[in-house]
Amino acid sequence: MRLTLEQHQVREIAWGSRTKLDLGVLTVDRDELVAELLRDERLTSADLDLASPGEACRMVQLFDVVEPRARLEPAGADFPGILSPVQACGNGRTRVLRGAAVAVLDPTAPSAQLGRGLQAGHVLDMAPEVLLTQPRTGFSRRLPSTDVSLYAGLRHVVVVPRIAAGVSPDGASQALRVASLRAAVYLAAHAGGGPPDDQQVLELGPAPPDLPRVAYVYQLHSHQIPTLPGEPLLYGDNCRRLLPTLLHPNEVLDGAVVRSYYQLNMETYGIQNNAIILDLYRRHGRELNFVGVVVNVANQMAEERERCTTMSANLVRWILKADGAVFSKTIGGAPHVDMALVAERCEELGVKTAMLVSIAGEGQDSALFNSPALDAIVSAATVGTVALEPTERVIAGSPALAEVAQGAMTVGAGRFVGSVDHLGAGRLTSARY
Amino acid sequence: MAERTRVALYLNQFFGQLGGEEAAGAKPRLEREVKGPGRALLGLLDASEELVGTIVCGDSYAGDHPELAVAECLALLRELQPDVLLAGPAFNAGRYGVACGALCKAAASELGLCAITGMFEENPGAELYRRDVLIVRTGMNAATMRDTLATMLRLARKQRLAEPLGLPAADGYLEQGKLQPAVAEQPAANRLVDMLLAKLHGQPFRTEVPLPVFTPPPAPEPLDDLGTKLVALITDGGLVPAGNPDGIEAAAATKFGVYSVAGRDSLDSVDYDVSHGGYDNRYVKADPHRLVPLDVARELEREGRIGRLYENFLSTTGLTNPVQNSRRLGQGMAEHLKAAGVEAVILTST
Repeated sequence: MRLTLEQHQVREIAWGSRTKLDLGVLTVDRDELVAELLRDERLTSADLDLASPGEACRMVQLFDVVEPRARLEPAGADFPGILSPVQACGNGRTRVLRGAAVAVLDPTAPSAQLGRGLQAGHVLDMAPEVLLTQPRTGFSRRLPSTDVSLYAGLRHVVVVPRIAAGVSPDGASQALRVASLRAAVYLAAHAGGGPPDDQQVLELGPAPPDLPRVAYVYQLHSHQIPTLPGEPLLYGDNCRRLLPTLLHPNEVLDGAVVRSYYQLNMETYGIQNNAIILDLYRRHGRELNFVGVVVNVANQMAEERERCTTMSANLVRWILKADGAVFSKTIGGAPHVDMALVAERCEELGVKTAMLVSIAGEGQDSALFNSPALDAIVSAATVGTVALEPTERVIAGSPALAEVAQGAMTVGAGRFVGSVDHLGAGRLTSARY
Repeated sequence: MAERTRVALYLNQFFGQLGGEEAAGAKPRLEREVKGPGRALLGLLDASEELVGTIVCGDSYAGDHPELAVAECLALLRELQPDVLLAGPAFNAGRYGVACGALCKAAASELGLCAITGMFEENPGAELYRRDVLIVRTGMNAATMRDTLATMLRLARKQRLAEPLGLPAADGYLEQGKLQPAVAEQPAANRLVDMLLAKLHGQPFRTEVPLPVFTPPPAPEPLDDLGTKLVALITDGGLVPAGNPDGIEAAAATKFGVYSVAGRDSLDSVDYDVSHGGYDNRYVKADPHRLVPLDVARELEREGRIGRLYENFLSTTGLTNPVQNSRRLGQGMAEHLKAAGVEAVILTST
């Protein structure tokens, strides 16, 4: 399986009469993009906006962030099982618009919470700096926003889909999912055929036999928030009863996997650029032999958990014949257990493990496992809150919320989109003093 | 010339040159003369600092009368009026370490002093006081006395200037369990793969999350006959009366609520909310019995399979709750239930 990513750098986004990418300037035909989105009859309209790094601009009620990408070869095979029929991905050529993103808001999110006051949900602020604070210890530090969230450094086409009356909550979520992906594919597909600035070839070629064989165990979702019927996670499947299986890393990067409707501190952008996969690729053939990806889910029932963790460890040890494995999980306490059980079983089978977690909050001992073999843990979360200054422009689902969200506000670090990435792209962490 | 920084030293009977174990019962006393490690300290002080006195106290006295010893030392410190208290270092001497920790904690909180001590990591005083007191990491014995004092002094100067501390390893003190936001040089993914490779190659690596050590509580003896017992329902799934009157937090709750079910056979969903961010609450909101099974418990009561149901259920939220806090909540619940004569508990979780 060989995937060539044709990368075009986007330096500016502007509205224009035709969607095209020219010398790093992406012009977007608003009407055409809206018409593309309104192919989904569950939408009545879609508001569009732009947001750039360093601007006094804030997005609230963020649903997802997606990198504009389009399959060139085979053409049209985008997000199989969601936008296109179920078919293979990860092989061929895909166009990527680097530096750009589609940010989709969920205008239905706060209405359910209006009784408790307007809630901004997940936030992304484009201001050059934000203040990271930890009220308990008096810590306070001004940081470049791009240190806090990689999404603060991107140029966004912001989409606010308007859901038709009478569409069920499940249908609304599905419409948001489709709109997110459709906008991203539209931009890349219409960006024109100029030569890419750069090409990245992703292929797991042969590796010297003395290098350690390393697998990646990737927890796609935690069913403590059960996926809904029709909620796509993997090739369009909701993975409600997913047994562990093997994927080629290219499938993950090329549209087979998207995030659940629920915020799990993994955006689809982070999946398309899964930092663990990319780092394993970078070292493949030099420091290690990247032997594949085991995908699984965290389960609610004891028997499901036993089955899934046992099978996952067996795939790592006996099918992939790995010497070592790295693990990622979704946010939450319960997914710790599933991840740690697989890791513990791997260690019992002689496979060394390292895990990525996001221990935050009070933090010191909220890990839900303590097996002595599980001694290699990286923390991808930060304690504390992000304090935001008043901003000039808010992109929100409703004028009322936009007005409220314009003032100074404080959000838990996990609600500042991109500050916690369970797939390892971020540099924020917690230091123990 | 500006006023000099006044430094006081606390030593046990051995380092304070009163004697060995036979002098361990000595009450705290103030020595104006330089004692033991004080001589090394003098050589480290700069022109803006002066050693104003040394408090010497026997380890057994401090251990046998902890509150009294601290109070007496504080009285001596009031007399000395220092700006800085350096206690020990105690290395691996247990009673000495505990005494140093207790005094530093009190001197900081009650007299506002900059109080620093030094210990070996496994000194019992370190476990007791590392969260509250800045403790310089030492070896097991006094071989590193001069270096330890130099580090204690350096940290005292930093604190006096209100400079932020560096990381424990860099600044030479025992981790205080404070988590601070930080920006790592490498993304988490790269650190993860680095750590795995180090582990695979048998090279040293340092976990970013030390795991807690749980001591499992012993299981109680089984009850012989539930049919005569007062039984209570507890949950950590966050069921609260509508509007959450006690403000039970939706994650890592710091309190529990006590909610009456007296005279009721069932819970009406309109009367209840869920304050818990860790599971899909819709099913419990639709039918609270899925979390707090009052309906079934009443049946058991009527059938005589349990003696009587306690008139309140207790509720809190367990989500990401640190062990220490969970333990405190559990103790609070147990006290409440014991006072009410409850003999058995059904705990339902999510």
